[in-house]
Amino acid sequence: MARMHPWKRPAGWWLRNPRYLLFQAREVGGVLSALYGLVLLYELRQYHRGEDAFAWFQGILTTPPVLILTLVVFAFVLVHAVTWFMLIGKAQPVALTKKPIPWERAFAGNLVLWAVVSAAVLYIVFGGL
Amino acid sequence: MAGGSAEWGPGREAVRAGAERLQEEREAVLEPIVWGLFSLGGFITAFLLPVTIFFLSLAVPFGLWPADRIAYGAFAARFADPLVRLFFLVLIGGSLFHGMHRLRHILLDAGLKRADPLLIALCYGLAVLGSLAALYYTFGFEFVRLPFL
Repeated sequence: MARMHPWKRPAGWWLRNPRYLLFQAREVGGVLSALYGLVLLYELRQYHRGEDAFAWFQGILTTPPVLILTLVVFAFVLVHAVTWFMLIGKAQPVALTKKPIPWERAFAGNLVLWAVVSAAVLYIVFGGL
Repeated sequence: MAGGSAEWGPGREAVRAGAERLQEEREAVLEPIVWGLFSLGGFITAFLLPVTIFFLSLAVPFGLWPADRIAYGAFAARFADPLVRLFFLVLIGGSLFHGMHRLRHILLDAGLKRADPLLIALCYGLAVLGSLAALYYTFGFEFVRLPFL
């Protein structure tokens, strides 16, 4: 029986090139966003349990270790978001005009949209500044 | 010319083995669905998650907001709005399907190919159950009461 030897990426391939590093950072950011999704889910659960349960969980979220972890998650989620906005115009060039819109323009448009959406979330979900 | 015997040919076995394996593979049904949900979830998390983390987890501890802005009373007042509930449902479901799909593929890339059925069950299982729980906490609790949630 002939054995097949598919090529394997050497370990640590993503450390050699800053682009690959950023790619991996985005992947990690994607996973960490699910982690925060679970935090949100647990927060809703505590909300339904009542005021004491909700306050208890809020207290845990503000302890230094959890706060540091949250900062790390926030940093990765930001990388995830910004690199994603850069990607949209590259992976699928916007071709509404004769020449596809350059990705930088799509990126800028995404950033503006991001700011508008974030402001809307701030006002609708958190009741404004 | 490619005469010779049909019995022996280096490489043929491998080609045939590949062909047989291809036939055994079922049509990909799951992959397009989960990649679609991954993409949609990435879109949702990219736009909605940073602002949420900042104001729900960071603004108060870093002294930008007074604590009562995210306390129970304020949360209850906002949560009465169906749009706010929809926001939490979409964000939780989107982030879970996005992140769990990503986690599965990171683990597959790390060499856990043989464990894929288990990874599928665990990753998408968590995403599905988490989304159902989110559906219960946002809208379902008004219609049914589940004592275990």
